[in-house]
Amino acid sequence: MIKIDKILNILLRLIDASKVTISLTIVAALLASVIAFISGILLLNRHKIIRFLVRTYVEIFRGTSLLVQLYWIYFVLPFFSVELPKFTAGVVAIALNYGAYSAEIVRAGFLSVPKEQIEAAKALNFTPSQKMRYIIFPQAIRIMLPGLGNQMIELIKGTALVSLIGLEDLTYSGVIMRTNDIADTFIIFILILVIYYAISSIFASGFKLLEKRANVGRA
Amino acid sequence: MWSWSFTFKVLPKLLSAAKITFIATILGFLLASILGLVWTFLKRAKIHWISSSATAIVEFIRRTPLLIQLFFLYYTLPSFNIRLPALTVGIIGLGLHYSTYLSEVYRAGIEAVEKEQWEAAKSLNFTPYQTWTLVILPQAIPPIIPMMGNYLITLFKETPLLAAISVVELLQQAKIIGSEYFQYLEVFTLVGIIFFIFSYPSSLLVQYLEIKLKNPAEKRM
Amino acid sequence: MESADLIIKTARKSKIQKKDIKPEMIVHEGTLTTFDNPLVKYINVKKNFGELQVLKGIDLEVGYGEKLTIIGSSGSGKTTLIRMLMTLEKPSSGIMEIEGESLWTMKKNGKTVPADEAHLRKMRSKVGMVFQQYNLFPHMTVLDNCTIAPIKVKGMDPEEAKEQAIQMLKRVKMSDKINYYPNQLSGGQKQRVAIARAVLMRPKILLLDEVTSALDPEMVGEVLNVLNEIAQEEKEMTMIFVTHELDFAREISDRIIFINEGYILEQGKPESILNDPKSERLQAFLSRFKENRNL
Repeated sequence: MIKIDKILNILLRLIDASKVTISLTIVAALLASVIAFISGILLLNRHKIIRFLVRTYVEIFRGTSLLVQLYWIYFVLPFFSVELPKFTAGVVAIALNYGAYSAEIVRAGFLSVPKEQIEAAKALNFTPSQKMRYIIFPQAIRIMLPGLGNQMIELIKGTALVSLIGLEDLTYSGVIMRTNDIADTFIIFILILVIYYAISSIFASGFKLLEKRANVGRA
Repeated sequence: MWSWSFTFKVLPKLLSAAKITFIATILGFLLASILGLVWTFLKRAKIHWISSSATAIVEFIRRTPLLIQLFFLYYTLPSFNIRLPALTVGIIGLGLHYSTYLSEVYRAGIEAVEKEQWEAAKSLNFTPYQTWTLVILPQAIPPIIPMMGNYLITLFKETPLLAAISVVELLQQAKIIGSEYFQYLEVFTLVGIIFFIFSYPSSLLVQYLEIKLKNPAEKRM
Repeated sequence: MESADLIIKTARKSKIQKKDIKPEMIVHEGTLTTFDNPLVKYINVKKNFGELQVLKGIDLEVGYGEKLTIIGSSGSGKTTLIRMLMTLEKPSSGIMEIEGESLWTMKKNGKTVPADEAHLRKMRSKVGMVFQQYNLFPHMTVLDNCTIAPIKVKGMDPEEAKEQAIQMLKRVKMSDKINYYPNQLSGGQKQRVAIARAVLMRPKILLLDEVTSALDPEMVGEVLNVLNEIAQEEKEMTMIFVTHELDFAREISDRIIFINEGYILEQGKPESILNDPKSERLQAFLSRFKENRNL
């Protein structure tokens, strides 16, 4: 009934298509992290105007939908003569969206470091950058990692939306394969789900390892 | 660049499509709330294969994109002779996906109920059903209402994905109008604004509830 | 010397209530309160937290190598007094000096300007602190807690820093726990590590802020014993203790000052202060302690 070699053939083609998904994931995640850390720190800035501006960015991107943002960047920006290739549009939309969600996690992480730790660092006469690097950051990242790990999974799932602007990622290729081979619809979608699950799980266990490392010495 | 006359021309069309968005949100969330509770109980089941397969299924749904799940339901259900309108498929997809998140929320709420409460229920000789409905759930649910609210907002913002299975909700309507007039700025911006007007105040309300609900607990201590 | 009349006049002028008049400081006989070359100097230092005035005018000199204890009821401002020296709080007014150099201001192009971070860091290198809640870094082992600042802040060779840390941890009887994390230690053990960490920076002034207050009673002894030894051995190091352990203060200090309602009310040698308090406030404070001990 279902032939193994046929399934294998579909699987190999889908794995090939998932290269786009994986590179999109990595590039967008790196950019999202940069945005999240900068915004998260700026959300704690002492200048009200800076806080307000960053807060506005965060709330706009959290308050609207990723797909709406993607469409806006891909379909509306060209009217302002900003024409982004599909991959870039996808990276920008995903990074801005998950960067906004993660900024809140970064902010909360830094806030969670007790002020006594900062006083102790001061009493040992650390420079501000040493204080950040050796005392605040290692303690803040421990609080951030579970949240950032969850956001990572959300980001991976979010990359599927780029298929809706026609970028040939795993999802898009699957949909195209299906139209050529309606009888295999079930197999194709199951395999797509399995591949996404595998990618998510790899990143999830990566974050679990990081969490373990950050938790050294804690009960 | 921005045309106000076009804006006012298309706004009623968008708002009427927003109805579909709200229906999908509310019914999807309702389904997610019920199904989430089912997962929570299955994961707590004493029979190992039930609890472990429930855990595995929940994990699988959580780690795979809603979009593919929608495609999967939309394209494969008919081959099992289940023919449903696209909106219904969309609601099922949303409900199924978010049920996995809500089951985590319920779990957190249930685990927060002190174990003495279970012992008290036992000492009063309640049946398991009575224990759950009279003692545990009434204590587990109120503290998690803000978290549930957060997922309601998140689910609302995911409804544009239904466009992919041909449900004409807000975003799909905007896309149709946009391609018709080749004028995307107003429609997509309006969609963004509509989403923002509903989700931002709701998230403020959730934050308020979080603070409100935290305080009485502290007072009790 | 300001005359009492003058103070009353100024007080009336600024509409300060009568109870806020600076009381006459009682100095017990034979007590050294001024120095030719003081290490630390407070001149009319005041500190407000919002509406609340915690310190209302502190004048104090501390000598090189002196072991000074500050006593007073909680809320009297004694912790604030030393936290300002660590630059953890900024005085609302007044002058603070370390080795004759102003702590909170600096000279720039001949003008006096507020201290910048570089100036504060230079001044801070002369001061160290042990906290009530230990404030060890939870993500570092005992050894790393003790070596990170010597290596990173003082630029010490890591091997050298490690060797010194191990020696120091021996002195606080913690050398068998160098690879433990703070969470694996008891309160008393944590505090002994915190003491080692602070002393290893070789500050000229070591501040100790109620270092036994957070400890379970059975652990107070071990920490005080260690402190006692260190105070004996580190003759050069000036130490300022804020504590409620009066027996310890008697044994260890050269001088005790009693702070009451934001002012230094009485100061003198330990025996004299503890056995022969002059002011009613100090008498009441001390008798409260004796009562508690009898309970």
